[in-house]
Amino acid sequence: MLQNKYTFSQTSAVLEIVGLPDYSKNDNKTKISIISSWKLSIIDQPEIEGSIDHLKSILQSFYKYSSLILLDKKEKLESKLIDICLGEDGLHYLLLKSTKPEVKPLTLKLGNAEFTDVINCFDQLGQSEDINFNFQTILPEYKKQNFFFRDRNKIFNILLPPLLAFISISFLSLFFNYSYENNPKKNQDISYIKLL
Amino acid sequence: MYSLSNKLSLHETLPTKVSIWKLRCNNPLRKTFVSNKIKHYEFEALLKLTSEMAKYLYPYIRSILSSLDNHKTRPELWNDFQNRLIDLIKERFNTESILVKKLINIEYSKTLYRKILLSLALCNSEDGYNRLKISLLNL
Repeated sequence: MLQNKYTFSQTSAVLEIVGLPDYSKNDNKTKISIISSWKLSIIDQPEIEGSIDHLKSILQSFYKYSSLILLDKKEKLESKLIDICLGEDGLHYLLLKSTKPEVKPLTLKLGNAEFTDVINCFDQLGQSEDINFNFQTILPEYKKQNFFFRDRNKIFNILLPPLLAFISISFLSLFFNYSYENNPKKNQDISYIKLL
Repeated sequence: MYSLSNKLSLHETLPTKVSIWKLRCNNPLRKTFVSNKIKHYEFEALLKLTSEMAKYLYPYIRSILSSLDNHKTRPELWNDFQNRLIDLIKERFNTESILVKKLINIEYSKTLYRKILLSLALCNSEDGYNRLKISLLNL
């Protein structure tokens, strides 16, 4: 059976997807629903290829890492097949781990330009109508805050200090009132003239 | 920017050039800062504009990032970008503010300049727009 092949390129990166249509889902013959192989080529770097699980893992890590960049978090991202971190020199270091025990891990150093090219290739894959690929399981999960929730947080921040002040004043007043009520000298006449 | 907003069918949210300028004046670092509450649809319109502009400018953004990556051998583009950005900040932002003074200090803000460009490069598609939006809402 003839396999379909699609390529997504962006300046220094080319992503190649090879696969077959799923006729049980009434796919037309130009579509890919079953990915049999993929290959990512970046200029001046060794080619990366693997199974669909590898592709999912790499996509997941790249998308999560790009979100961390946007959130200005400098975390090292580790997974079963790939580690990504930002180096001191501002470049992106990738450690690709093979599932085969005899293959040593491969380290790649990507510049900012190459990294964004790869992300653009992945985005093109996500937007492609010719390839059926479930991106929902790939994209990182967020605690989705909406605009209104942020405003509610703001209101909470405004109200919290006076509320705390009111509670502490009430607590202190109750404490002093209780101490005064239990004081045995409370009914004694205290004359300042006598004291003088 | 106005022609792009029309191309993106944002004429209801951003009907005139002045409406875009008013939204941009919500930046507290600007000389012409006006405190207006941005509505959700205006926030989305600004993000769409940013994403679309990043798409058009991607070849330039990429070249500048590449110059930063190879700063020892090809520093010209990155240095030009830095100088132009600082000139723009001096022209439009309130330079009396301590934050702006820090912003125009190259040594202090080099990482921020890099982050601005990288963020633009990562939001130049439909997925990139969503990425930027979710990230901003989760800051």
